Amino acid sequence: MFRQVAQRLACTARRSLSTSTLCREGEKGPAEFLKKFTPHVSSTLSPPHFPSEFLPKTVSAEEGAAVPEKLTLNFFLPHETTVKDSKVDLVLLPALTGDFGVMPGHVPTVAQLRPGVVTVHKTLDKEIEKYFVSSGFAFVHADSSTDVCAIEAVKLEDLDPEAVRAGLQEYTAKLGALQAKGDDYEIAAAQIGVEVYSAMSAAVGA
Amino acid sequence: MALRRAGALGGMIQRTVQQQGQIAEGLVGDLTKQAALLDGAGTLGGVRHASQLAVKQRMRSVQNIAKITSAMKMVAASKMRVAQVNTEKSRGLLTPFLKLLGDLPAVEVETNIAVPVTTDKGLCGGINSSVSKYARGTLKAFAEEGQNSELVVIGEKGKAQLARDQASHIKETIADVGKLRITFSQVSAIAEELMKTEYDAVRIIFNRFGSAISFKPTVATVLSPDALEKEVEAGGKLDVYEMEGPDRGELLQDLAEFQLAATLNNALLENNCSEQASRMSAMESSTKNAKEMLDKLTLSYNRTRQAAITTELTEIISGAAALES
Repeated sequence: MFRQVAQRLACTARRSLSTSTLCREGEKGPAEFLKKFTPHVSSTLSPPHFPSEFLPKTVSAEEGAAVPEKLTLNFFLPHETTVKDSKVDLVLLPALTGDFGVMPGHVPTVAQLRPGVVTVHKTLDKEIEKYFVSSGFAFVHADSSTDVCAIEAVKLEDLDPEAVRAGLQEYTAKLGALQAKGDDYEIAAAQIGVEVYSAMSAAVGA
Repeated sequence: MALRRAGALGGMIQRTVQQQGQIAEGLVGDLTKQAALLDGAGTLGGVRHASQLAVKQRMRSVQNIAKITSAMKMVAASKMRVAQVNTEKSRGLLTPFLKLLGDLPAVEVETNIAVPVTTDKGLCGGINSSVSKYARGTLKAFAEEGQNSELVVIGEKGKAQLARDQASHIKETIADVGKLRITFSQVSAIAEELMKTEYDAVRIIFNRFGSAISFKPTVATVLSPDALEKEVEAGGKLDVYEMEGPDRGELLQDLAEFQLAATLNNALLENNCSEQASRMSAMESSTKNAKEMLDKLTLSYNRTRQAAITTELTEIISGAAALES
């Protein structure tokens, strides 16, 4: 009996805690969802969870706090987390509008990436890691952290120049052959191939 | 039974023979031989009584079931180990989206799509029925006020369960997702199919893998590019960010599509992992049950066998004693 009461109390405490942390989502957040959801299901069904509950706990930087010395970099792929919470000096990103560098205190930005090289300077001009990304997004947050999300990324030294050259030739030939026929989807696919491979060969050649 | 019927038949024939005054001894002899043969077929593996035979057969089938379920458990355990690694790796990609766009499950839009992620095969505990329950609740929660609420079901099991009462709401079903290893390109194809439904908000319902014995039913929300645009205008988090792209609308569309694929990828992997874990524990408990049952059956089999032997012995000894005295 007492155990049940304690459990119930703990449960309510948890719920109120989670709603208080999530209140920034306002009237569209999980709390509001549960209000709509609960009348339609049996009362014994426990409420569902939400992805925001499982976010890693981060200490949000206070307003006007000093700009940290290093940038926090996360590098995510759908099938892997390549870099997590790594402290770096500079990241060079290949955005669609042109390359740009991110240092601590950068303006919050959302950038769409093109096929190209992401350069990570762990210490400026000394420890450098280079990744080739196919495409994706980069988010620069106000708290001097940067998330790079790519579909596929490999270390530059893992690319085989021979294979890149062969791939570029294959897709260029394919594009030439297809342009005569005029299937839009196939042409677009071949164009993407040419674009990625030329970016790759430029990266390898450099 | 066969013996008695054959005997009755024999008697009848004998009577007819007597009535007709003819002799047909050959026929009667044949019948008795046949009856003896039938009776002999029942004795299997040292079992002497029909009741014991039934128990023996039951024991054999229970033992086979225990073997099958324990093999299934092993397979599920090894699959789970692989799936767990893949699932944990896929979680990272979700965090930037949640940070950037927030978690808005209660967003009010015109077309709501609920996507319950279920398994294709059964024998995996209650994970599918719980997802179906949450899907029904979500469907009803947004079916009011002229909102459009539909279902796109992933997995055969969810399809079968939801088709019972929500058949008119099911727009599409997708099956055989977890058959091979889940890849991002496969998920992208599903996401593309999902985008054809012209949704405003997709709520993906799946079992998030906690540990081998805990799965958390989770609702992940993804907005369409248009709904996302409205959210940003209404003062969403994205407002403070500068856009580095060719065109704001295009960038938001790409972002929303990428978010859909990433969320779906994670949901499918999580659910696949939960399925294996749930199957593992379900098969473990059914193996345990089968073994318990086998123990009980063995005990009752041995007891009746011993009882029969004792009775027979007593009969023989008392017969011998009667002759001696």
